[in-house]
Amino acid sequence: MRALMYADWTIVRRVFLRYLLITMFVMTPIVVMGNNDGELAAGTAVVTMCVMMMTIYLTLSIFSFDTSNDWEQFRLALPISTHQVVRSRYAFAVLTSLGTVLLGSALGVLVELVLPLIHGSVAAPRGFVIIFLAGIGAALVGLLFLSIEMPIVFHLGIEKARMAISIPFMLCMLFTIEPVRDALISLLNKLEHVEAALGTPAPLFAGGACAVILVYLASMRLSEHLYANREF
Amino acid sequence: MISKTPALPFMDIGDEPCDLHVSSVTKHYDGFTLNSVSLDVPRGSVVGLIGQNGAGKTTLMKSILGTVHIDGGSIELFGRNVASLSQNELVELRNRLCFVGAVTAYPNVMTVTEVAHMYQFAFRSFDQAAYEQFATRMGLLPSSAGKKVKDLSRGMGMKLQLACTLACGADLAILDEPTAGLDPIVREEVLDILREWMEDDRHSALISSHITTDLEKIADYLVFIENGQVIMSCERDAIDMMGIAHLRSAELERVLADGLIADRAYVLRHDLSYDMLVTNRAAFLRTYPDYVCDRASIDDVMVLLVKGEVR
Repeated sequence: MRALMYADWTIVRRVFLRYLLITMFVMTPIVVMGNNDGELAAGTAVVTMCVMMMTIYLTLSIFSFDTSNDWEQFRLALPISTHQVVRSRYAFAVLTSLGTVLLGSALGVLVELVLPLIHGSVAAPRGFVIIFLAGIGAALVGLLFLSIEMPIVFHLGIEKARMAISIPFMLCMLFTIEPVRDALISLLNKLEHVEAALGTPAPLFAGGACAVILVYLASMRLSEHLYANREF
Repeated sequence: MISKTPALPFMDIGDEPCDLHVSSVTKHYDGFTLNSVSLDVPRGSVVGLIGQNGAGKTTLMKSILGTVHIDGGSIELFGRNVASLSQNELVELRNRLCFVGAVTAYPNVMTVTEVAHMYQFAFRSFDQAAYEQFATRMGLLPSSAGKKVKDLSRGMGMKLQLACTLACGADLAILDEPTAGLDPIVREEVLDILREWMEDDRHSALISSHITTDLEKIADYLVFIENGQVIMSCERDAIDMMGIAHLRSAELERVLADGLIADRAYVLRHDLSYDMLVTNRAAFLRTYPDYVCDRASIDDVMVLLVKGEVR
């Protein structure tokens, strides 16, 4: 398993800068506009986007390298089981998301320090702890997306699963439908009441994190089962 | 008295210990079936797997490596049936097995040094010093240490695979077309390294190759596979005993009428003559001293077995 995680690491090292630049390119106008209208906290916006995009992009880009050069097939000739292949990839996705949380948090803090020099002020500066927690939240959402995508990719391979990768994003589009959006707003309102009753959002945050971890582990078990039945 | 020419030979290894024992392995695909294939790789020996493209060599190798699931039969690695092993036990056993593919199948952004590190993580008994020795000898180190896999030539890629796999402490090597696409000098280097690795009596190898001259140099046993079936398996020396008789029509009829060819005779028809596979050239020439019977090469035997008609 260490061998596979090492191989994944060598790949990520090579593609990291490319994806960071893409993320920053997408992020920049949103951050600046958000700051101008005074409604979006720049630091949390940076960390959220950075973590979400980088976690998903980097993890899926490693899958792309599986099919190049027949690596996907060859690695099973090493003393490595199919379960180890799946577990190493799930573990690596978690490590990637944690790495991007640290990076995104640092970028978020930097943005909150630099933007006042340009614009005079920043809307609702949050400080490192809030930015970091926003990053953790974004990482959990990213891992939730990957929980949906990875079993499909392990089952079909990245080439055949390309369409399926957009499933989580398509599910998000459901919130543009009024009844679904109303249901979500209603749920969020209820959660706000719960938060008010508890006096702190921490239990809700922890509960959400636990739910994502359970879904992630269930997704890993499903991937193990699907991948063990695959042939190359 | 005329002695009867024996039927096609089949490998008989008696009680020799085997690192790999494949028994009646079957795998169905649409349009192709690997049909009840059996073979053994005795410890300390090289078994050459010969067959046309699509004959089933790679499917058989994939079955042994576990990248396809067999429909029937069994595969024993180092005396243990792989189907009865847990994933952890199989991983443990696979530390004694290494694979060299026809293409250099590592992520193409990895460097030579990183590939070696990966092997070090994967194989418990990886010998870094042995790797460096092999890699230096083959010209990979130090000059190509930082080169990416995608920038290596086919020959260098194969050398990287060999340096890593032969240093990983495995006892059984499975090599799929290791010399395909290499120039004669690199091919000879590859064979030299394999020969050297095989000097250790604990090492065994199963090698598939279209380049039968390579197998003539290195194999102890040969297994011919065609249409998903083993059609002949024998010791390498058995090929030296074989011959190709070049016969005219009447001569062929006479030989067949004499009933010297047991069970089945493989005959390839040309415009004015016939080639017939003879399992014992010396005996044939003693019986028919006036007929022409040349020494058979592995290629000759394969062509007769695949393209010849059975009489």
